Amino acid sequence: MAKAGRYTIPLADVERIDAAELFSISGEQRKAVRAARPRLMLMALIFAFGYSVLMVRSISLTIFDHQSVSVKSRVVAAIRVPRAKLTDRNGGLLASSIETYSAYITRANIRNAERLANQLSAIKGLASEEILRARLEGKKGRARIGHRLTPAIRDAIFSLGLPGMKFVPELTRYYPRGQFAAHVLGWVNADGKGPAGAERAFEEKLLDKNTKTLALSLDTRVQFALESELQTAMEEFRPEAALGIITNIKTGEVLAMAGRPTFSPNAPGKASPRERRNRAATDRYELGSVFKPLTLAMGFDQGLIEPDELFDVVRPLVVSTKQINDMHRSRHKMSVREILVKSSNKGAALIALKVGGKKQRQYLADFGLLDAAKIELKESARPYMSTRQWRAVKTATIGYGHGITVTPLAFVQAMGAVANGGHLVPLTLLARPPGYRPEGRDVISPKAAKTVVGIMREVVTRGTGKNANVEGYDVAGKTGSAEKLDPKTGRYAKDRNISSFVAIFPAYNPQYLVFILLDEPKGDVHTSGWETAGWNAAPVAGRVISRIGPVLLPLAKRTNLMASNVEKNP
Amino acid sequence: MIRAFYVLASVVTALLALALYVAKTEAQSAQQRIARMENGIISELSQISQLENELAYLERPERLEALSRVHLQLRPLSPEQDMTFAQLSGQHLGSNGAVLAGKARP
Repeated sequence: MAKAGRYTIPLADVERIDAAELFSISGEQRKAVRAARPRLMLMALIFAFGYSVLMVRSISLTIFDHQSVSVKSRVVAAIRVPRAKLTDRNGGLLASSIETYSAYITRANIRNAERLANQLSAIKGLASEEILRARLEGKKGRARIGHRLTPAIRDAIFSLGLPGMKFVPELTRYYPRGQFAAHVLGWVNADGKGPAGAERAFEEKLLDKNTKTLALSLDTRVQFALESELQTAMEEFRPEAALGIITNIKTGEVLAMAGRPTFSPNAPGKASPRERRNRAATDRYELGSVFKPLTLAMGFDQGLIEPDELFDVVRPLVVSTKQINDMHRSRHKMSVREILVKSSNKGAALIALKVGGKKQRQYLADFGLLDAAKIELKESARPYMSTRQWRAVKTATIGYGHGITVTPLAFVQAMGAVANGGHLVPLTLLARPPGYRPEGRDVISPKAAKTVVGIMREVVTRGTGKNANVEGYDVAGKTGSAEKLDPKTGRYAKDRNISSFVAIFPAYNPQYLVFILLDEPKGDVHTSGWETAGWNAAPVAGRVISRIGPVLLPLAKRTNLMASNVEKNP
Repeated sequence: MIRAFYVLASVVTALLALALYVAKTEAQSAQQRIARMENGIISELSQISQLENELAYLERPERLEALSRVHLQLRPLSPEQDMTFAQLSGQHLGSNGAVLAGKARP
């Protein structure tokens, strides 16, 4: 029997059967096929669509999309480090971003938290056993073992072979020299932003992918000398605070800037705001007698005074209702020279009154003292004056450095103009190329400037600044001992001084300026109990110049400067 | 004729697909090598950065000064020591390294 589906056909009849007829359908079968055809078409279309999608995706993966099958580069520590390095002017590294790690462990993998804490605490650089135990306790989630871990610490943890460990790479801003130049550099917070210092001032440049290194104007050798002497001054004179600034007069570059107390930018959170504050930029002071050279400069520039012109400082001087006194009463009239050398408040007030309030205000504006110092630091503060009205008493008191509070940076910028032949240049924290001469403005005549510097030299050779004299460097300077205003009483406190000293060297051809300020220094047996600048700020400045002089102005260079000065002034 | 054409077209298509596959595979291999090299560069740069920081740490001025004092008995240069050879002749050194004028002895 032959079988055809469920139909059985006798073999004898197979030859007589027509295949077409055999497999033809009719009647009910035909109706059934017709009814099923649309459904079959639909199924065919669905499968065709599905296979088409698979085919297209296969082609896409094979030909176009290669990333999903290639080895991806490491994400976080990319080839380009996100924040550029900071160096000093000679390429010495001050700040850079390094790869560190955060280490985590899944708590479910911890069998004995106490034992694990004991194991981990033995690794140098991790927290103490108590802290680690507190972090490891619990059943759920992940415990952080540490963050900002160096590769060495990571390797030490890894070698313990702990299950459930995870290391997350991250970039950390690191300052390899610790507290060195902390106030200039600033720091970077957890968001990766710089809230102060150069990190804030140059944020955009540092994050620019085209910037690999940013050279600051600082000179490590000069910065170190300044920091060392400020530290010694803190121990010697026990002030509340101390600061110093050293600049290149011609270019405005800040070669050194430091303050005490200080902090480590690697751990800014551990320092107080008092320690983190860059007083040179943020704090305003009534600087006192260091202002007097500016008053003389105004008088000379106006042609109102001569170096040997006499002023009556014997009689009492009362301006409005304010009596102006000298620390040491003079029994004879003083020349303009003597007014600066002996630091007479009366003499300076008289000169200021001769210049007049209107002119004085204009000069202060030209010296940049009515505005924040022109430097990249965002925290550079504006000056403060007690009253907007410019009466005679204000003119007189500003003449000897009271009645106006300015930041040390603003004052240094102004004095730099006097030292630079009357030409004011903005201060900068960026290293400039050799021969660079910034754009500035003329404030006083070169003759007036030279006269003032010459008299400042006499302050050091025979006046209150003798302790700042350094053989061979022709130091010119001025002391300043200003009583601090007690905010509670509104009166000046006799036992609380701001001692400062501004030095310019060499006087015959000024190149560098040094400014030292001590906030409430204490006298001792070595100072015969005196707290005035001649006994503290001046010798500190002298020691700084002794250390930086051979570095910045070796003999050969000094000889050249002397020769060029002789050529200009035969 | 038509059939021959279809056969030829199919063979050519298959050959093209194979060539494309080979080219793509080689390109992927090259990309993988590049990615491995990039990872290597990142690793090297990271190590260089670590070394630079370590060098800067070791070159801290206060550290170098302390080492100079202990091992080399050197002190910071003082202004009195800065002079010409002409000035040096006929001079004597004091106990602190400063030059004494004239024929004075330490």
